[in-house]
Amino acid sequence: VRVSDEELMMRCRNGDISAFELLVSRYKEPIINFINHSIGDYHRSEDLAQETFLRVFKNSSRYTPKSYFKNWLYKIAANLCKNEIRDRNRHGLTSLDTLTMNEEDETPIASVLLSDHSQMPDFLYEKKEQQRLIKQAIDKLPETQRLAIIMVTYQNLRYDEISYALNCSLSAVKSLIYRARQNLRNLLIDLGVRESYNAKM
Amino acid sequence: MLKCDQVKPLLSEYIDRELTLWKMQMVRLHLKSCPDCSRELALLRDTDKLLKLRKNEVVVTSNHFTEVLLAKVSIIARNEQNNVPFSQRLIGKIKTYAVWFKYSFDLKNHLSFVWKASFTLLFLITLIGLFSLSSFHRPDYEKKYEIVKKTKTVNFIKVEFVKPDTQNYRSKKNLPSFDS
Repeated sequence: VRVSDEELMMRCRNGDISAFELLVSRYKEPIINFINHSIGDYHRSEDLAQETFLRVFKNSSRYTPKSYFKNWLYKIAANLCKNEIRDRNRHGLTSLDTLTMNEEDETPIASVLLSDHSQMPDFLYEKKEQQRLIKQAIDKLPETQRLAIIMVTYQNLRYDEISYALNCSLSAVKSLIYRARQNLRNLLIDLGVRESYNAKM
Repeated sequence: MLKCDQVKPLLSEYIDRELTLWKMQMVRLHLKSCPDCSRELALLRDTDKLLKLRKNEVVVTSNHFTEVLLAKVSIIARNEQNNVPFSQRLIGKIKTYAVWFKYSFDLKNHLSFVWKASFTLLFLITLIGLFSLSSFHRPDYEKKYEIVKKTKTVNFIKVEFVKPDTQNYRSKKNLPSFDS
């Protein structure tokens, strides 16, 4: 029988480290992917994922099984992401993946260094380019819209779970996601991503 | 029938299947007759498809992720064990069990389901037992209750035992009528 996350968390409250280890093994991949999609920097994502789980352990005495553990975990991760995004905006930090060599050539440095596009079939290159533009568009969204759309698209969270994680009402989440999709559509059309053009026609 | 400005904000929820069945049908009905909203839905769906292109961009944690984390956690746990006295730790443990007992009913997990089911069964058995006891061991079961309702002057509930066939009980006793 699979032990529920909430029960593991209760054991964790009593200082059971093996219960905590089981929780980490269940959630480390979803959490690092969520953070990586939100901030787009793998190494920083790993640090933040560690910080998320550390906060879970430190604040385990505050956790009450009134809410699901998963939602509580996403709430902590979302708060860390928000702080990180704010810091990055304040200090003008950009991840290595989004750095460009110069204004005319918009090929990212990391992808130039790590892969040789001359050897890559056209469709693969095109796909990679499209993914880069999508990432660029997501990064331009306001922080809460960004987190909400990432949670619903990549983490498959329900609206009520998102409302708990982002600490806002259900109607606010609905409008956040709707506005995020509208903004993204306009941004993708501006960036010239092909499928959006087709849809517009 | 919904109007366009009512349907458009619902389209995002429609894509994520967060609408109720009724609203879903209403939106579907509107979309059949409105090319403008259908176009809007196509655009939103397209954006969603494009976003999902990044879904396979999955990263994994490094090999030492868990070990580093557990090392940090065990330091915290050891510090806590050394600094917090035994009595406080014991109280903390009792509190944890109390919290778990209190809230496990709210969660839809397996354990709480067993708890709920057993408590419901116990409650029903008690109820049936009480009912059967009360009906078999009442000697004067022909007596029935008449609860006199509150009036303007009397602000308490009065329970009187009267015989069920006595219709004009109040007039015989020369008591004031409650209807007036």
